Order: sequence, then structure tokens, then C-alpha cells
Amino acid sequence: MFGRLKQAVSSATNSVKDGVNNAVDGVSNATKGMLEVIEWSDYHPNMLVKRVPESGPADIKWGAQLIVREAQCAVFFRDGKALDVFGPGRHTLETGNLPLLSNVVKHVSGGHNVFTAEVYFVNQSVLTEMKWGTPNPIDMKDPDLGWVQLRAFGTFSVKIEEPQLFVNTLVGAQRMYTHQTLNNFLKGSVRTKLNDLVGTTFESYAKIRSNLDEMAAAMKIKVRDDFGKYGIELRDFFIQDVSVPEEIQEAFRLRAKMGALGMQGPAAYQQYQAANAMRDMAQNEGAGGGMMSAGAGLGMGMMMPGMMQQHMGGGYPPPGYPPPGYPPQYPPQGGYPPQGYPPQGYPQQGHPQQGYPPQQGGYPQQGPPQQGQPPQGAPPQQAAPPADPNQAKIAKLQELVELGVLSQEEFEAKVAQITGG
Amino acid sequence: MEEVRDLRMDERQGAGGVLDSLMRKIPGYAGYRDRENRREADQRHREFVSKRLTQKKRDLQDVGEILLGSGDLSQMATLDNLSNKIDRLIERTRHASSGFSSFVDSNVVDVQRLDVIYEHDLALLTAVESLDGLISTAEDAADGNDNVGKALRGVKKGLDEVDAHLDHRDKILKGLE
Repeated sequence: MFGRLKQAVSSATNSVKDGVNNAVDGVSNATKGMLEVIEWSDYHPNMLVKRVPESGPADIKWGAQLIVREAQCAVFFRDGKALDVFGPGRHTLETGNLPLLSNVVKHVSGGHNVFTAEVYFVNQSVLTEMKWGTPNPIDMKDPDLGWVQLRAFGTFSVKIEEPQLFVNTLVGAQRMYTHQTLNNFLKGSVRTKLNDLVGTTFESYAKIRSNLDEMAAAMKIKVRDDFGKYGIELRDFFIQDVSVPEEIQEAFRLRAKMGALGMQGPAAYQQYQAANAMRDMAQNEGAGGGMMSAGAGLGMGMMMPGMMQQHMGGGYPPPGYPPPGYPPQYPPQGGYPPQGYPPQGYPQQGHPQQGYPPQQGGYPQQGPPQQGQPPQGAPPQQAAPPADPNQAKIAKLQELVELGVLSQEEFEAKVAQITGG
Repeated sequence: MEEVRDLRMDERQGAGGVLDSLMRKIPGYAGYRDRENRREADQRHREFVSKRLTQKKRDLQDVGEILLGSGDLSQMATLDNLSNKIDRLIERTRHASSGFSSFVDSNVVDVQRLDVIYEHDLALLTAVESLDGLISTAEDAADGNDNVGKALRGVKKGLDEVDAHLDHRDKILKGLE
């Protein structure tokens, strides 16, 4: 009897214990589900937004602590509407600082100590290293180059100035959470505005190259409304390069080269090309053969005086030459040296001066050689050419035999031909 | 300006709630709380000033838009420099020290100095508001395409004054003035 009673009491006690335990677990789970401290601690510079909780709404306890770090901002959402915004600092969530949310909650929660909301933390630091570029070239009519295709690239940086607007327009609607997705979205706008700016404000490629700073500043103004409607502000805009196709760049380099050589005007390019072609042919003996090289050399030789005369500005001597004090017939017109030069008696009497050359040195002691006499120790003068033209021809042929150009038989045949033998 | 300060202080005191009014009964707490409220109010005031500066930056960009519309690029770099200068002032104002009782005792800012800082911040707002006239002169000059450079030099001078105010503020907090 006692045993049965004891068993019944024990069973009843256990069931009460279980009931109590279950109830405690329930309360504990409820407490676990409620947010008492809300913060974005695993902050990463590439993340633009952190949603708390990651999905669905959260139960937030009145009096919970909201911690917002520097360069962050917290936006409270309920039913898809942004309600209250908190800047950096520690905030206790209560009626005083959640005026809009508390109005909503008052009607819904029936006075309970919990409210339901989502919190979006927004990264408000300056987002740098956003890239832009022109995958398709921008067509531009240049007064010097005609139609050219411009390409440009660079970086820009932005800041989310109005978090509420940003979350409403881009995060809520387009799930834009990362630096990369925002970059992809914004660079389209940059491209369009750059196209417009180049078309309306810059007349030439040269003007763009010399006004990159101004162009970057103008871009900041151009895109501000496009970015501003999403709560974003363009902070910096950098143009790393604006370029034209390689062949046009080459033409620019060529123009600079011709300018440095003093070639100007429409004929300059032809002259430059002709001079280059001749140089190439002259250097390329194997391919063109001796005759071509000789022809090129000859052509070059014939062109050079004309080119020089043209570039020296109106022939030789230049205007204003000879300078005052020089005889008017200078420079001599009848060849050089002019007739009567050197003057009679040259070297002049008294030259060299007394005491020259020094007596103790390696100089020869005899003084300058007298006119008509070879100095002693000078190399022997070459023999005068033979007076007989046949002898001269034979001597030439002999040289060719020595050089191996002619064989002995050929030499003899030629000699016989010359002498008539 | 006194009204602005009172308004900000009221905002802070109103945010305390029931617990705060109970804790004020603890000796010393009320004074501490008042100083904290003053710092909070100061922070809000500076936030307000930085928002006004942001507005000035937008006004200045309007001048740039007028010039760009007429194809005049000559002042673009100057405008950009001014715009960057305003950015710097915004950040300086927003993140300026609020006279904090830090971990290091020597950095504690007393109540009298907090008052001076607060007065100074109100004067800062006056300096910022005076930029309005200078920017509107620049806008007129851009409209008439007449002496824009001179007008922008005037804006730069105004911005330099705001900058000098912030330098002065730092000196007050460090006890140098």
C-alpha cells in the first residue's frame, strides 16, 4: 500500500519537475531569442551593410544596448520601412530615442517588453579603390586626328552619406551588400557621364591630356546627382590614363620626333620617310645588293644638299653674312681655296718665332723645311705616275692580279691586247 | 545661440528616462550626468555644423555645374580643391574631441572649459553660416561669367576662417588658451 502510494507521489513529483523544467527551458529559449546587445563586431571594409538578424525580424528587448562604431550607422526597419537612424555611440533602446518605432510598437505589442524589428548597420567609411574603365572606346572627333577612339580608366572613392536612402534604394531593392557589387553598379554611371563630358566639353585629345585634373573635377560634378539619389557621394575621382589606339600614339611620337629634327609642314612627313627609307636601304646591303645601296647612297647624296639648304633657311651663305668688316667677296664664289691663297711668301718671314722649337726636346733641330725640299726624315714621296698611259693600265692590271681578281693568263692576255702584241 | 544650447541640452536631458531621474538622487551623479549631457549636446551640435558644411559643399558644386554648363573648365581644379577642403572641415568637425574625461587624469576637461568650448562651437556655426554669402557671390559670378576666380578666392578665405576656428578649439581643449 505504502509502496504504491510512494510510487504515485514519486511519479507526480517527477511530472511536476518535468513541467517546471520545460517551462524554464521555454523562458530561457525566449530570452535567448531576444536581442539585448546589438552590434556589428565582425566588421570588414568590403562589407557595406550588415543585417541583424541575417534573415527575418528579430525580437528586441526594450532597454537593449545598441553599439554603433565610428564610421557606422544603424537603421531600424519594420515592415519594410526605415524608421530610426543611430549614429556612432552606445544607445539604450527606449521610447525616448526610438520615437517612430515606439509609435508603431505601441499599437502592435499590447504593452509587452519586446518589439520586433530589423537593424541594418551601414558602413560609412570612405570606400576606396573602386575601379572604372571604358570597355568600349569613346568616339571623339579631333581637329588634328579626325575620329579617334579614346580609352580611359582609373579609380574613384565613395561614401554612403545618407544610409537610410541607401538601404531603401539599393540594399532593400537590389540586395547590394558588398563593395564589389556597388562598384559594378556605379561604374556604368561613370562611363555614361564620361562619354557625355568628352563629347560636350573637350574639343581635342590634346586638351584632354593637358586637363586631366579639370576633367576629374568635372566628373565629380557630373555624377553627383546620379550617385546622390542612392544616398552615395563621390569623394574622389582619379583618371589614371586616357589613351588612343597604338597607331595614333605612334603618329604622335613621330610628330614629336620630326619637330625635334626641325621638320615642319605637310612635306615634312614625306621627307622624313624618304630619309628613313634610304638609310634602311643603305644599311641593308645583303638584301638589296651593291647597286641598290649605291643608288640609295647616290640618291641620299643628291638629296642631302637640298634638304640642308632648305632647313638652313634660304641657302648658303645665310643672310647677313659676311659680318661687317669682312670683304664683300667672302666667302669666295669661285671655289675653295680662293685664288691668290696662300699669299706669296707663305710661310711668312719670321715664322717660327725666335727660340722655337725648344732646343732641348724631341723636336727636329733643323727648323721648318725650306720651300721645295722634303724635310729630312719625312716618308719618301710616292713615285710619280708613269707618263705612258699603257704603263698605267698595265700597273693597274698588275694590282688586280695581286689582289686575285685576275688570273695570270687573263693578265697576260690583257697586256698583249694593250701593247698590241 | 543661448537658445540653441538650451534646446540641445533639453534634448539630452529629456532622453534620460525614469531610471536617470531616479539615479540623479545619488550624490554626485547629477553633476556627472550634466557634464555628460553637455558633451552629448556638444556632439550633436557639431553634427549639425557638419551637416551645414555638407550643404555648403553642395552649393559650391552648383557653381561648378554652372561653369561646366558653359564649357568653362578653368576653375574646375580650384572648385575641386575647395570641395576637398570642405570635406576635411566636415570630418574635423564631426570627429572633433568633445572634451572627454579620459583614462588619463591630466586630460580631464573641467566644466568652465567645457563652457568655453561650447561657446566656441556656437561661434563656429556663425562662421559656417557666413559662407552662404560668399558662395552666393561665386554663383552670381559664374552666372555672369565675371570674376569667378576672385569670388572663389573669397570662399577660400571663409573656409580658412572655419579651419582656424577648429585649430583654436583644439588649443582650448589642450589648455593652451
